[in-house]
Amino acid sequence: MLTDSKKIIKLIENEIGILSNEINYIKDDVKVYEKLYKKLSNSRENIIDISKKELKELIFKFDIENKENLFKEILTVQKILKMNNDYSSTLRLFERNEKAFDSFMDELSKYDLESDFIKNKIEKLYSKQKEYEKLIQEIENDKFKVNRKNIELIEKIFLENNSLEDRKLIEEIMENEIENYNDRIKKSKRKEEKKLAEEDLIQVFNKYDYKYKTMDEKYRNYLEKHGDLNNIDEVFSALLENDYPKIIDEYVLTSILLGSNKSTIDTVTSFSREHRLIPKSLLDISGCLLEQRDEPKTFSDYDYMVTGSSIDFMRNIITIKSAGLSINYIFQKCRSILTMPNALLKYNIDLFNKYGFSFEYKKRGIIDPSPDALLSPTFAEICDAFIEISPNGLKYLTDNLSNVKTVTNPDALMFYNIYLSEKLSSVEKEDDPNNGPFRKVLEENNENYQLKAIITRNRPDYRNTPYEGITEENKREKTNTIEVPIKGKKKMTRIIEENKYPNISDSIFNNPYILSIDKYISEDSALVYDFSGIRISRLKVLRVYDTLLKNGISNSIDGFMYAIFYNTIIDEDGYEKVVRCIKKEVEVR
Amino acid sequence: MDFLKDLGFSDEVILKIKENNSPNVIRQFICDRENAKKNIEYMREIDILVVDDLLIRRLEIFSIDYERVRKAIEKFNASVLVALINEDISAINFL
Repeated sequence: MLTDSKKIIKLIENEIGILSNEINYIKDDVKVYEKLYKKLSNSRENIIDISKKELKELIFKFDIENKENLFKEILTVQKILKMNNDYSSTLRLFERNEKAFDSFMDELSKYDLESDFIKNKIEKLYSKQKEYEKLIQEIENDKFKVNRKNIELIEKIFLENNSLEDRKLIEEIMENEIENYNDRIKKSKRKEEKKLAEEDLIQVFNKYDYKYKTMDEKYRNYLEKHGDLNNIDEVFSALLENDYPKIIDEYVLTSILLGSNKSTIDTVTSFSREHRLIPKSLLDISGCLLEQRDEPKTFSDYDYMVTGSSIDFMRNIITIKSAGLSINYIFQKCRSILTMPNALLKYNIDLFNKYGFSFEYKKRGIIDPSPDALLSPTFAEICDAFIEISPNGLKYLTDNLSNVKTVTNPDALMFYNIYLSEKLSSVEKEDDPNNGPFRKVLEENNENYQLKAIITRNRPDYRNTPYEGITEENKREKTNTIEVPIKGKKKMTRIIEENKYPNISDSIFNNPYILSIDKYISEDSALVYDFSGIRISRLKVLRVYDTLLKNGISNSIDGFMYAIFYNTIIDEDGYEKVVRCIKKEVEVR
Repeated sequence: MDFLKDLGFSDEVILKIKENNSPNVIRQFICDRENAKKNIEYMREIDILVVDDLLIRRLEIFSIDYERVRKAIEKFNASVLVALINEDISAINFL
């Protein structure tokens, strides 16, 4: 029962009264508006009789944006009509005045008790009243539940609408109730916390020659809280039957006992044997032995522990083999690939080939950046950004493919640093071999490109001294780069964001817009369009424009221009250059 | 990821690691934590100043066997390599 139910009921009853008044006000308004609509329909000159104050009150009750603007326009209408009336002049209304008057009449016409607009307004208030009446009944019958929904409802009623005194009262009451509620939740949670008895777990562990008591308390708590005794027994048994060595790592053991089951272990182990992966190796990528789970939105330590990818793992093995890669090589160089989402892996391998990268390059070293790149959730966008930002961007990326994964945003500050560094070096110090964002490092007779610390800002001593004063907040301003104006941009951005793994259809290569810019394909690389020195990623244009066309955007210059400038960091001058080139080929508005 | 706190990494760095890496990569890193700890300590010992950036952006390399990492670095002129890594973490790819 609520601590002070009578006071609360009284406040809710007041609120119901306020809602009844609101309903009556609406009904009164309808009468006034209906009368006015009829009057103005007979002759719009009748607007002269309405006072400025009345007009303002009427218009400011409309459910529209720009009420102020409409009010000003209607006043102009009134003045012109009054002049014509008073001085027999024949002044005509401007087009915008005519439009404003039409809008004004449209709004007035909505005020009809039978219209959906008014019906909905009144219905909303009635249902609020019903909700509050139900709340009173629950409180009176001692059935009021202090749950999130009810707390929010009471807060909404009182904190928004009532006097300071009422607010203080309700805050006080709610505080007590929330405390009681939280206490109850805590108590019930404590009951749930220990699902399994320690003795039972000791017994099962002993049966398979494992020691339970010596395990870290953290893992014992997880097992007691989340474990299922039968499942734990079955998992131990499946591990034994499938010849797994004794699991020493307590994190791995706990995760398998909690996140796996007999069938998953049997299936994954038998599949892996066929692909020459022995049980001991599987324990090094133990996520593959856990039941597949969708990614939860938030990650607690427990969530990470039971993140399973058994299905993705088996699909990945097939995908990797089909791509002509060695499982053993991937296992040695970047084993996380084996448990990553399969759809992303497939998509990234396809992009990897399309952008012309190779897995052969670093085979001898202990780190091969090529497979690491496959983990990237933004593979194409990052490749496009490097291709466009500098003539050496693709060379740098090829030398350091891991950047496809380490840089996660095509709008990252680093790209603005590279952009400005390229601009400054080409303008000011053309002959200086040390200018520009990159340095060359000789590695086994190969010239390897690295970014300078002033550009990466990784080194701690550089972190507080931005390159040329560029920060996340002022990067566009400092580099004079612009957001390219495109009609319908918002809708197209939504389409691109919704299509996670877009393919490039064969048909797009024969699209008239695409064909029209074929002549700008760079002589140095088929991955780049060169519009008077401005580099645009060709795969980006094909991919983005194709996706737009497949998702209902008509074959038009707007979608095409959107694809050209998608994520491109560019200044006004660069934008004009590209548009001039395209204008020569197609009509640009 | 508590072991990273014990090694002196801030909550902010741990949060960035979680934001920048998929759950399976993080899980793998936790499974390989004993090896990762050795790699972290070794990198600090040889004055790599950007261990936090490496953790945020190249978490997967900490799963590589510590002995192999150490031997690979010793093959290079370590001070030059470290200077390069401190400029651009991509230089870790030389290993």
